[in-house]
Amino acid sequence: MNKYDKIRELKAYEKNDIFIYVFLLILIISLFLFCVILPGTKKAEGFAVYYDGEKVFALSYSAPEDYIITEGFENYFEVSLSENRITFLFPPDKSEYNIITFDSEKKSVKVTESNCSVSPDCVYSPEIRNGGAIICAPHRLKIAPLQDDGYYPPVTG
Amino acid sequence: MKRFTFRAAVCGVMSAISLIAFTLENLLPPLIIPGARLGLSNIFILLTALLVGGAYGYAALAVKTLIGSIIIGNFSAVLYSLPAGIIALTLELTAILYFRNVGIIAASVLGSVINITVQNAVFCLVTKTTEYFIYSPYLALIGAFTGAIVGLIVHITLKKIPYGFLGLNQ
Repeated sequence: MNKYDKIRELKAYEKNDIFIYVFLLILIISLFLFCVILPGTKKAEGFAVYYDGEKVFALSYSAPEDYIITEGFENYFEVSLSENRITFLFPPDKSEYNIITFDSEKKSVKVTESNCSVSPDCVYSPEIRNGGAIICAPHRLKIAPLQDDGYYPPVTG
Repeated sequence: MKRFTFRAAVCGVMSAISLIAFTLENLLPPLIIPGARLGLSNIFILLTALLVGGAYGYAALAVKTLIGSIIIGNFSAVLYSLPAGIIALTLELTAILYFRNVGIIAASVLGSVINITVQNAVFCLVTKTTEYFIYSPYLALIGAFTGAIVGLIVHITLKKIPYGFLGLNQ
């Protein structure tokens, strides 16, 4: 029997498959344990937008109108807030954009529209609440939840 | 020489089909979590490796990943897709060809889970997006599901190919 015949004789299931499935089960349980359960997540009080790894924008669900744009980026992006939608327009000609929609009651945030690519993964990403992140790779953006120690409202008065 | 030419031609055709499948599945929305795809292109990679040889399988994988990343406009995906694909294909071929009594579906599930887990891990480390680690177990579950489908299709294809088709038995 040559190699080609052996390949054709391969079966869908064999008795040693159980070892592979047990190994994968242990792997998946370990991933749940070390990536989800043990780290835990604090309640998010807002969300932040990062550009090239640098925080450029932060918003609190309790006071969305008091959003903060990091010093130095005030003129880099054009940001507009309308009800529960934030629109980011990118330089140089402000033709690239991401629209971020948030829910102050559910404390969740999602990218609802973007012209980053033909198949925008950032728009297809599920909404994030206390953990995870939304990445828009073509626009180099990351949206991540902010826990209670990550947001500082502007000093007033 | 004739045998090498024939195998290279089969590898080329399978690479092209794999590339088409990769491009098409990237036009579709991801499966629940970003980065999770059907993995249909892996059907042709695995078939190439099994029918004409492991080296040709790796060649098809490299072609699919490099050219596919250019076509979808995300060349940085090569950084995490290519190493993950090489590791996954190595594990699949090792399980099928060198371990006794391992089925194609189990090997494909193993390769798919390792592929998507390694891709996610490398992506998180390269882009310094540790928040994405939280999706790892869910991606692994999706990988197991898509790996089973890929394995089943490869198994059915191997059974349906007529004996001696294109002279593969020589």
